[in-house]
Amino acid sequence: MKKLLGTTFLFALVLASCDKVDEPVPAPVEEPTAVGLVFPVIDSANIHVASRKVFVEEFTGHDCQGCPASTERLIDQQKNANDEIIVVSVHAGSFADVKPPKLTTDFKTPYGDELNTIYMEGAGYPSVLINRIDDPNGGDKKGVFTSFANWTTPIDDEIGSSASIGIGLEADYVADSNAFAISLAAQLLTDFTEEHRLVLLCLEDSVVDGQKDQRLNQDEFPGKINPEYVHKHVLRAHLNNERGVFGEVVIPATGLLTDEWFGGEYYYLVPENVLDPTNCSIVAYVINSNSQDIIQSEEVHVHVVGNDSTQSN
Amino acid sequence: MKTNTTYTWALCAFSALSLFSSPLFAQQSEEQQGLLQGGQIHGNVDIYAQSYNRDSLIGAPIVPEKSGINAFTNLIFTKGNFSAGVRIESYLPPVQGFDPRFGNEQIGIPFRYATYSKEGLEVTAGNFYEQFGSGMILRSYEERALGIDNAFDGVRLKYSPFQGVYLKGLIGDQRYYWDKSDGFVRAFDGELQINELVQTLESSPLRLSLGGSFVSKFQERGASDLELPENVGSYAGRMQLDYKNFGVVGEYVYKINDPSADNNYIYRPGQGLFLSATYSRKGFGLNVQGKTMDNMSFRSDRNALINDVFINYLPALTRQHTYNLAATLYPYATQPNGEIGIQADMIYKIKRGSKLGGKYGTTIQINASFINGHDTTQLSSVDELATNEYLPDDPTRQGYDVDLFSIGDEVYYRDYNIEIDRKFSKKLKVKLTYVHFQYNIDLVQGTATNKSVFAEIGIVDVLYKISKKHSIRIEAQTLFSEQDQGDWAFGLIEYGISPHWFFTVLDQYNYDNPNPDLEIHYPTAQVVYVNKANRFSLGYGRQRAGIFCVGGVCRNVPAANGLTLAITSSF
Repeated sequence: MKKLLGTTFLFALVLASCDKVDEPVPAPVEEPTAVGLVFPVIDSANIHVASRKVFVEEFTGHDCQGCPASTERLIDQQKNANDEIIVVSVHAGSFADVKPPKLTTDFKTPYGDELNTIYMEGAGYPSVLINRIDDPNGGDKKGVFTSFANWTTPIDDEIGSSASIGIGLEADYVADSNAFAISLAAQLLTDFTEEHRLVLLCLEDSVVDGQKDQRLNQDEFPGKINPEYVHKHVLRAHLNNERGVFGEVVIPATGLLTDEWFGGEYYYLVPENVLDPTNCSIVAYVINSNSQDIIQSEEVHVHVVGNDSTQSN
Repeated sequence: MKTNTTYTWALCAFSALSLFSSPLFAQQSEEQQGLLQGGQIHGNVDIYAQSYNRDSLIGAPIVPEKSGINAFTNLIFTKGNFSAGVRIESYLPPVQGFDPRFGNEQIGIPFRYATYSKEGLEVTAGNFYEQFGSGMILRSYEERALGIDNAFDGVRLKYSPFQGVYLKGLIGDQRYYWDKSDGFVRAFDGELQINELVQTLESSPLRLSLGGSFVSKFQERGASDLELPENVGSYAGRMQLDYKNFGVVGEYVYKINDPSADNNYIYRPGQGLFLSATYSRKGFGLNVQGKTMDNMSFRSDRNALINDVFINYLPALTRQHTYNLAATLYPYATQPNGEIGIQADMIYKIKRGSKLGGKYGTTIQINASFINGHDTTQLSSVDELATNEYLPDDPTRQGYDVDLFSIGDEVYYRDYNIEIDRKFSKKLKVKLTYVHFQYNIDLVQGTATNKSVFAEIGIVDVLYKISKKHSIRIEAQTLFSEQDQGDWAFGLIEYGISPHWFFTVLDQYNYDNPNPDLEIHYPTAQVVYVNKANRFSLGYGRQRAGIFCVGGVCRNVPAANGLTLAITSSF
């Protein structure tokens, strides 16, 4: 019988050995051409020069039962700060793993996974990065603040600090092309002598899906999972990802002087994981390539444009 | 390819085994005596050597070493249910026409194994050969004349839990000259012999067997722009049905996406179907075979070419000719990327004593084979596939569309031949053969002529026994063709002194080559001495460039001028 079992095992091993490939070469992403495309206009009056906004990257996951309570506090803090705080919910790590049968939506993104690997080693969830400032306790690492009890004060401390760059950002959702047309203009408010990079992100708000929440009643919500939880600020994609996780160079290592400008017009197809493009916002941030501090950030909700002259490739 | 692991252990082990079992070791311990008592060692030696003279007229390559030797020695130890063996190979350097990579080592042991069987279970560790069904899904074998040896190196189990149930499983690498293939193979085969399994059918004239196989190879993806499958699986089902004088054999094989150098890295699945029906009675035999296959090249290294590391074997559907011109000028090689064909073979013996059959009877053999390509719709060109880029019209890189049973316009091969064999007296026997070929030389030999070769061959073979021990055999052959190298003639005289000596002179003459400078004679003289299990052959002459095929598998043979020596011996 042992021999038969051994043979059967080998048989099973062999049967399990097939890789069916449905997509030998990934289809290239069809980028809309800029021919005839009308980009949104930036009103110089809307360029935010008054302060350095607080860029908060919240690391969370749908299986993190302590996260919803902290998120609510973070959103409250954001509301009270009059748009001085930008929140990006990064679903990453094991708490964001797909866990059937109830947590079946994959909120993870390659960009979020990379950030998690770079900054969140050993950190508990929920945790935030605040402008990617250094760890206040010293060391080489960036400051990781776990739970609202620990991040409320550092966020408040960052509010109102002076800006070194002013960013103007506008974004249209061009429904006919299923694309975003983005305009960005940035004015330097001081001299720069180091390389800086620009990152553009796509967030989606009001995504209704399952979320574990320790505050829920087990009887009413089996597994303490709220199937209709409204996820806010969900990171969907890193848009200008051709140069990697830290984006594209906008200030060269040779530097730029006060009152010089950078910016441009960008167009991207709506990422495939976006459920409702009209709920999207575009976030831009500028990061010091050396210190990895985020020196300025901006967020704009997309304007829906139903009709355009965009031509797809 | 992976670096080959050393075989030193096997050499040492076997040498030690051989020495201990030798009478020279008269003082071996009792324990050793007990271990080896009753054991036997046997084996064989096969040496083929060739010298090379300059001969620019026939295009013989210049060989710096001026000679080549391929030598093989098998040593096998058996005792009861246990056997172990090694094969020592030597290439000093390889004979021209064999892959030069055999010369990467001058001497070594690429084949060693140990086998033990007990109570229906047989375990083999080391190297082994194996075949499932017709071989369309798995066949490892050695064909020394072609330089093919795709032996497995791993473990194989054979088990028969019940009478009539036969299971096989194996896992292993494949031989790649002196290295191993990049990928490895896992395979399972089961066969049911219904008449053995069901006692009431044991003596039934209806004999039925069913079989099924699954084979999977693994090879790391490596650096590629393509999403290459690391595990490629293939399955096959087969049956054999015999009833009195009738017999039917069939096998179907399917292989999932297996992009490879053979198929320009397309992801189309492979399929093959082979059917054979036989009827025979005294003095009459008829065999009809049909085959269709598409994209069924299956190797343990997707980048391998020529005859390297094939996991499977695609059965040939053409007659294996033995007469020189028919066998060596336009032999067909099975096309693993796709072909459809049918072959019929009929043998009829006219009764002795009849008006037509004569005093000793006459045998007529008629054979015909037809092979075409499939009717395909191309989805991507070879150039497009070579870019490894996304193909909008063929996003899944199928390469082409095909119906497995469609017959395309392109003729790959036609062979109609008839052979009449008649013994006129106790001393005289005559065999007449006519062969017609239509041969897609571009496909098989990689030329770019854009036309098929049509050839008509006539052969007369006369054997005359001068006395009880002395005989003379004469062959006269001619080939007519308007294409390729034009017309050929071949003559052979063989004088035999039974049972030891054979003296042969022969000449091939390309007497009507379109280029008069190439109207060349290829004369050869040969002496053969046979004594029991030993055979020595010594020859001298010219060898024409061409291809040499066995069972639809071919290798190129370069032109040569020189001495040949062949020795085979078994003990």
